[in-house]
Amino acid sequence: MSIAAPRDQWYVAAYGSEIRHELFARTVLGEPILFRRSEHGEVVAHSDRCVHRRFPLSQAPSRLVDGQVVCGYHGFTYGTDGRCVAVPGQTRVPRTARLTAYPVVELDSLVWVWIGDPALADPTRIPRAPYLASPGYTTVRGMEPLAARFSLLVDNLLDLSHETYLHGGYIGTPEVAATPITTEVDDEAGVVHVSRHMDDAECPPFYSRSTGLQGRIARWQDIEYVPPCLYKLHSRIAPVGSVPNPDGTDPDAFHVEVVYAITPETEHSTHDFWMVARDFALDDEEVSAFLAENNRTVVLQASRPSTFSSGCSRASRTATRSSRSTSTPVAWRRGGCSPGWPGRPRATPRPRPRAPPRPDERWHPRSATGPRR
Amino acid sequence: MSGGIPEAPPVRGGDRVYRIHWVLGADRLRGVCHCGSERIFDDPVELWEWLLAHPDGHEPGDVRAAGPGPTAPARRLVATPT
Ligand code: FES
Ligand SMILES: [Fe+2]
Ligand SMILES: [Zn+2]
Repeated sequence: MSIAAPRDQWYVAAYGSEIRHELFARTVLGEPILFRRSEHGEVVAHSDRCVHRRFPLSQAPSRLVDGQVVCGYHGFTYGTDGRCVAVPGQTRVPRTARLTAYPVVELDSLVWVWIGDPALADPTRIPRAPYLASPGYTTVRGMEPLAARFSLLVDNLLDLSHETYLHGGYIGTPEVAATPITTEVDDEAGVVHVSRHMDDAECPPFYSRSTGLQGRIARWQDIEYVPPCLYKLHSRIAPVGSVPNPDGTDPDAFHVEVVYAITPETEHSTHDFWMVARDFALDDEEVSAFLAENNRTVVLQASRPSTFSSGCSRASRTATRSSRSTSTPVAWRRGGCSPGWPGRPRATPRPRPRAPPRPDERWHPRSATGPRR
Repeated sequence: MSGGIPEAPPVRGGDRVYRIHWVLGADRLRGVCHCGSERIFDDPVELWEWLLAHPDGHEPGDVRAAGPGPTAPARRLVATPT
């Protein structure tokens, strides 16, 4: 079954750092969009097709002249608001000549664009990830264009990333067998949440090296998927017995925030934005390099067609068939493989085709994941 | 908490939260509807069919395992029109 990516949704179109005053083009849900910053610094987004003969405005000889976009074909000229301000050889410009504008919001270092009916665009519905722009965190990030359909990618990204982060290094250990995993699907809020809180676990070598924690730790993992675009994995490492304060502060703990923004480009390709933010070892390049390499590998694994047959995806297919809702597409709300995660326990004893990972491999996706079924 | 099956503490508030708990050490899932009805499944597909069929076949306080037998309610809910 193929699921079209839902419209009337916010999608991450770019990192804020990608968009400067030059023209920047990116296709989202099949719509070619032209981004740039206005003279005041805010991001604007319009159709990347000239209203005259649909020439791409991002493509030379189209160009930016004094803040206005001049079409490279016949010279139609557009202002920051998308309105056509000049047509060569004509003194009058038709009032209706303007580029389709897209609602766009820059938030938490991400540029969100609304695909659908602009009247429905509500910026308060954009899911937040404030740590991505916080000075208290160091973030590594990247973007992979993947030749994979969005719906398949959602399933597999979720599957692989939880394989790495949720199961990674713990397969078959007593902590897994003793730790409940609970998935919550909040219909009203449109959020899938998966919790696994290990209150007394071994500290993976990567964490002891980078945080200085020794001995046993509390290791909490919480996934928050806000369909269709944003997937957040909160990983919390703390001394055993330490819990966050009632006001939300958590001074004894170390946090890693893994974020994926999964944005369909076309029916068959997807932009995969990935970010890893941490609030410790802020200046440690080695830690940055490790986290970046680790995540990039997960992303690329997710795009491999051979991974598209996981047991987890069964649940989401069924969820789709059963969909009744219209506000947030229910396929995404019921969310990827999350309903099936706990029930497809690579965590329960199942013959593994390789020896248990050596301690130093624990946080590495290749060793944690193993061959796919 | 029911039947002695451990679960992670609730995170999401709200009136329409479905909760699914991995039954520790087993290949089974315990689904809990926002109405309080709950049931144990082997198959996540059947679990979701049952959850999404709410209120059909849901009775708060009703705790039982769905088996593959002919009386398994999840089976007849598959055809629920959408
Ligand atoms: S196509 Fe742009 S001016 Fe003619
Ligand atoms: Fe899994
Ligand atoms: Zn119910």
